[in-house]
Amino acid sequence: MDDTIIIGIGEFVVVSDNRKISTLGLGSCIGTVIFDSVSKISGLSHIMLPTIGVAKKEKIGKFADTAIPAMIDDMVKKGASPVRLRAKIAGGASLFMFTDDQLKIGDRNSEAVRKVLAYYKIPIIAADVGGNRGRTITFNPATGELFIRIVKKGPDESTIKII
Amino acid sequence: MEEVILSDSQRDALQEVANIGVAHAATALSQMVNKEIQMGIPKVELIPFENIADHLGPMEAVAAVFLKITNELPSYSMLLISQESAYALADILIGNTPDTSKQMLTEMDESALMEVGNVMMCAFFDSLAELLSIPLIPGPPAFAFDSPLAVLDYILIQIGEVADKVLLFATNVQTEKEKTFEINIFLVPEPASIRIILQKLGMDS
Repeated sequence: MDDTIIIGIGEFVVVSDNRKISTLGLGSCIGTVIFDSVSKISGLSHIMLPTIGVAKKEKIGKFADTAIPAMIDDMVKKGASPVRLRAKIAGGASLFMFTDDQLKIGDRNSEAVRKVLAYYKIPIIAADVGGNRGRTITFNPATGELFIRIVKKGPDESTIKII
Repeated sequence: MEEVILSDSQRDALQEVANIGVAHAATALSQMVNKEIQMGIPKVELIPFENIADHLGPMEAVAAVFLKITNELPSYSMLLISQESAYALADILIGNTPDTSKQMLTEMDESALMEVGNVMMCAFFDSLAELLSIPLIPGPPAFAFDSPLAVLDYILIQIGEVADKVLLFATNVQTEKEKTFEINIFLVPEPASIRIILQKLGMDS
């Protein structure tokens, strides 16, 4: 029986029972996995924007600078060791090409996530970011593997990668 | 952050707007492919971002055309064509013999689909402009082929700073006979634009 927990855009989750955690269709959004390989306490967040700015405070899961600190807090409260935390990140693509795209929100999102993780001194041990393809990701706390699936575009394309 | 709440009658009014817009888009498609096109009943719903996946249906991969209205009624629109429909539609548009074993879109297919999406959405916006007496000028279209969630997150990000929910006008258009085009049209107005639409319809209180 597959009891994978799937989170939506702007949400995060922390597990301590080795259940797999997943999020679907990351475009310019970023999926951030943080885990402690000893206690197996693991978190996944699906942020959509770099900073909360003046937005309403209760939706902290949408922003890199509020979602990730809240997730780390929750992990440490549940018994994760702050010094053992490692991160894997995926997403931050630019699916649509615009000639005048000064925005590049995918890149700004990855930058923001990297900044928050650096602040907490959490090393990013694997990353699959940028490009122009959406990603569906699933993290297995038992093995520390992050499965990344993209939509098949051509007949010979490989669509699964593990980081 | 603007909290948008819709009454039943406001929802009905928006549904009628969507109905008219989609009818125009479907007519435009029908003229381009020279086939009769039927449309489904549009759905107008306020959906929290985190639940958006539940409203996208079972499509694995889609050809997506994105258009943005920047002037008086800032809004984002996305036309999603299911993978099989995109293959079939591209063959018809380019004049190729339908290839049922097709496994990918060529660059030419992509530009043909982008043009169809552009024409359909412009027809949609023209009817909306007339109905609301607001000039609506869409920006250039952009194309992507990917999962529906991954393409729609582009829109959610645009309104993410000011909203937690999207107002989704969604519908299906398809041909009557054996060949079905599964096309979904989404219109996501910014919260301030939703208010303007309701005002113009005399439904703002």
